Amino acid sequence: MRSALRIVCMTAALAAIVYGLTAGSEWSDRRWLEALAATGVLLTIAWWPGGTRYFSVFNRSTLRLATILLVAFALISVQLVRVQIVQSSRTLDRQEITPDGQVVQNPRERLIGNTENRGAIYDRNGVVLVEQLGAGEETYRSYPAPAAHGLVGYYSPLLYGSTGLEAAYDDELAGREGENPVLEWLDGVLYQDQPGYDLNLTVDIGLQQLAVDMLGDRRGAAVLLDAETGAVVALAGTPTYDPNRLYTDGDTTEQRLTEVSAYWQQLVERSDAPLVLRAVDGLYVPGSTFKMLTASAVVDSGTSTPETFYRDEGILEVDGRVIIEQNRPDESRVDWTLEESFAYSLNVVFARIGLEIGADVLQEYANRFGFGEEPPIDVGATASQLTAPESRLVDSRTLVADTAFGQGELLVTPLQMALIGAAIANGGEIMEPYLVDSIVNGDGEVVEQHMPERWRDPMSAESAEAMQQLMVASASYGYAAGAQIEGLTVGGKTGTAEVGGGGEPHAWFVGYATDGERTYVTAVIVENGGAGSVAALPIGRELLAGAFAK
Amino acid sequence: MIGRFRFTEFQLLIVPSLATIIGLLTIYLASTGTLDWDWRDIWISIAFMGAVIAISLWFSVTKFAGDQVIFPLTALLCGVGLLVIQRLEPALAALGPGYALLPERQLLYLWVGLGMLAFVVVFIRRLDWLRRYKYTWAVGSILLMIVTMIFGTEVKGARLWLSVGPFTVQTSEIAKIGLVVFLAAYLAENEDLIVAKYRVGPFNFPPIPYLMPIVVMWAFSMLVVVAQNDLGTALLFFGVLLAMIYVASGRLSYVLVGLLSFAGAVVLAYQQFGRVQLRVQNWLDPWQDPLDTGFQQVQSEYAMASGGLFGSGLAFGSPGFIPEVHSDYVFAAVGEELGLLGTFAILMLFLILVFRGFFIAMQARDPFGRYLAAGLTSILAIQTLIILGGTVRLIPLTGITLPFVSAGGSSLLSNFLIIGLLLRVSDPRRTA
Repeated sequence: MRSALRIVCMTAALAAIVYGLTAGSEWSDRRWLEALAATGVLLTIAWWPGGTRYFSVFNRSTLRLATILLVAFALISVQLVRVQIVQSSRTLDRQEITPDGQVVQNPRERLIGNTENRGAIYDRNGVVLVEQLGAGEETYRSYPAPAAHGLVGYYSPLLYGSTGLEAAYDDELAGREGENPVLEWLDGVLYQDQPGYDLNLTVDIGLQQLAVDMLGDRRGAAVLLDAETGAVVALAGTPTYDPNRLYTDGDTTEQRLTEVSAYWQQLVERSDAPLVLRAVDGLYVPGSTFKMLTASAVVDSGTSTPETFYRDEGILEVDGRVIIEQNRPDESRVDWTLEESFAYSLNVVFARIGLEIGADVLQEYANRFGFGEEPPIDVGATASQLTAPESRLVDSRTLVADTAFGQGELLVTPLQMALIGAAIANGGEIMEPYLVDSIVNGDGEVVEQHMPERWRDPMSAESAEAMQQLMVASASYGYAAGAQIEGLTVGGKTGTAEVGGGGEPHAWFVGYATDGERTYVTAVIVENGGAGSVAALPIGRELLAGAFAK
Repeated sequence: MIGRFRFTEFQLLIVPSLATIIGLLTIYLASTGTLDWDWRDIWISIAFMGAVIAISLWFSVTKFAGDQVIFPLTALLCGVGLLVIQRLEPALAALGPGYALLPERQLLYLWVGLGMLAFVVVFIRRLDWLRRYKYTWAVGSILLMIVTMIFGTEVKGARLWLSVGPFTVQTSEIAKIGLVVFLAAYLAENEDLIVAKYRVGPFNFPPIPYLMPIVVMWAFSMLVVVAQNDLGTALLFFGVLLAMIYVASGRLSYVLVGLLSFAGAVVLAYQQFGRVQLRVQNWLDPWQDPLDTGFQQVQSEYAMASGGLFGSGLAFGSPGFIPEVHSDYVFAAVGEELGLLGTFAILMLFLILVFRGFFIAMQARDPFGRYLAAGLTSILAIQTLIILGGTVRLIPLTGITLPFVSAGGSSLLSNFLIIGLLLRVSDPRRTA
């Protein structure tokens, strides 16, 4: 009996430790500590000294005290495994910029000796985006393609750490990521510098430039990617900054440091957030583009087909909240198919759909499309949210209705919207988005070649086909009609997202185009740009057309 | 003579000898980047190990028959501490004149500590004078701390140090031993009464009158410690008291009552004192304020993470980025340069030391020896757990030294005294 209890407790303790350690970043520190406390109790039971009946009081209690202390030592050991091994790379990569512009980073990053050999970054046609120039103490890092600024990040180890691809591929660019860990260790001990590896991106700098030019001096972002592979062809945002002016290394002069920090201070104080990589980290209200997800949910859950009729009488009251329809092209008509409702972006119909499928189904499909999770792109991205962290969809019918047509508490990244579009265009599957196609070592050998991988499959191929019908309808007779491109099948959805506070709405466009062989998806946002069909759609259309022109 | 030779101890001393001498050579060669060296470059380790081996031989000569394991363990822990301090010297020297010659000073403390240990082991044959003057130790300890509170030198917002001529002494380090001696003596005297129960009608009561002196003494010292703003020591005193009452009575109920009152005190302290809230916040998420209050913890986290499994190697890491790395965060420096294998090794050394200490307690024939050994061992164990738990963010951090490894005179001397007393208790030929 006693030994059975011990075995059960020991097994449970081991299971909790293994599970907690492998859960990694999904577990908050607090939750881990709670699990560890429970493990402590279990271990105490499992190791409690038995057979002490004939011991003296002192010997028995001393043994028990020793057991409790042993458990405490064991917990410290487990915590050490977590801190030094399991969470190690996460901690080391952790870098934060405080609101007043100070950078928190691993100070060891500052100790880079020689950056002479740091690798270069090329676009998919071999155009130089980043390279290390000069020799000896006079080296500097050059970023000759302004359209790639922001995306490639900056490299300023002495002052402000690094961001973007410079941060994500720091080990490779520095030549530290060797094929042989023993040789790598030896290089470190013998202070031998290895030439850095070069990165070949999937990005086409011409299309990237096109996106930046079309955004002009407006704030916004555009993503263009290959729906079948996840290769990102353009990932642009405005405004951005000049990484040439942030570069520092171990040999940087005092005067240069002053200039760099003055420029940094200027960037930090600007109200238009130039340091944020908007396409992956900008969080926006999606507006009507979110109807792609609501429609996918209602179709894939088997509730409706594109031909199902919905009523829209111009007004809908949900628990005291009044939703007024402004999008009907014919105000005398009340019955609309799902396809027409999508093409004309009818808010009342989508509010009805939200209430019809309910909070749980909406939540489930949001999760399936990747909400609440950081998309696995190599530069890192922020997770999109269906509702604010403190509220739950099931608690409020008005929130369900608002969310279903793209308002409510939704906050999404342009990348996430492009991935929803990609699921529709690619038969219901989302490929992992990626920016680095291959990594090449100093001798020109390919060290690593990216292989497309599926991230998730939120809906069936049939549902994706039905969704394509809706997207094509929207782009032929609906509000996204301006997106047509000759010779291609185009689907799209515009959005005009209310932002509150009296500002102009955000303009959105999400669309795809296919010639039967290749399929590209785009998502464009223009902050406070007004109507989606006017401000965002032309950019998306040009990007799609440009992708096929190449 | 041959039969009395402490062969086990002598063999075990090979490990600390090699570790300190080769370790220091590594540090020297890594920092100069050459292969040229001289015996003089590693004199500190040789001087330390020389003293250790000399004392071990003297134990043999004087036919001391006590435990042969804890002295080598202590030497190895001290050796690691000495290495870390020498390795940190360049970074620390840059902090100011107060940090000059830290390794040399540490060596001096080690010598004095070793001398004290040898003196206790070889010349103090009987321990009953400790037992007899128990109230003197208790009152003396508390008075010492009160004096510190009033006349002490303030360092970083806490008044824990008393200046005596050229030296500053952390009095709580002396008081912790004084209080354990008192508790051991008192418990030994009233052993039977404390286990007994009072019956009042149908209820069993603990022998409150006999627990009173303990509770009063302990409350006094806690009060002083809390007033001194020294939460680590408060936690240590509390833990040691609970441990000793438990081993004497075998009653989990006493421990539970103690823990409940402790929980209450924690909640109260959390509500009353901003600095307690700050510590809790830095424990749960130091990243909330990574540049100010959470700075030290965040830097320690970076250091531990950069260590990985094997560590960067001695002198190849950068533990100098952590403020107070030589005292509060010495374990993080070990984690960075010696990796998980190094931190596990340190944990194992402490664990063996603690188990050996309890073994000595269980072997002792007189009650005072038993309680003394158990209490002194509890000090080492609990102090280690408090600082290590804080460093790895298992519990909130409270500033206290890692026995034998952290830099610092007072704590080193008092911990050597603890080892000396443990060795004394372990002598089978000791007459009470």
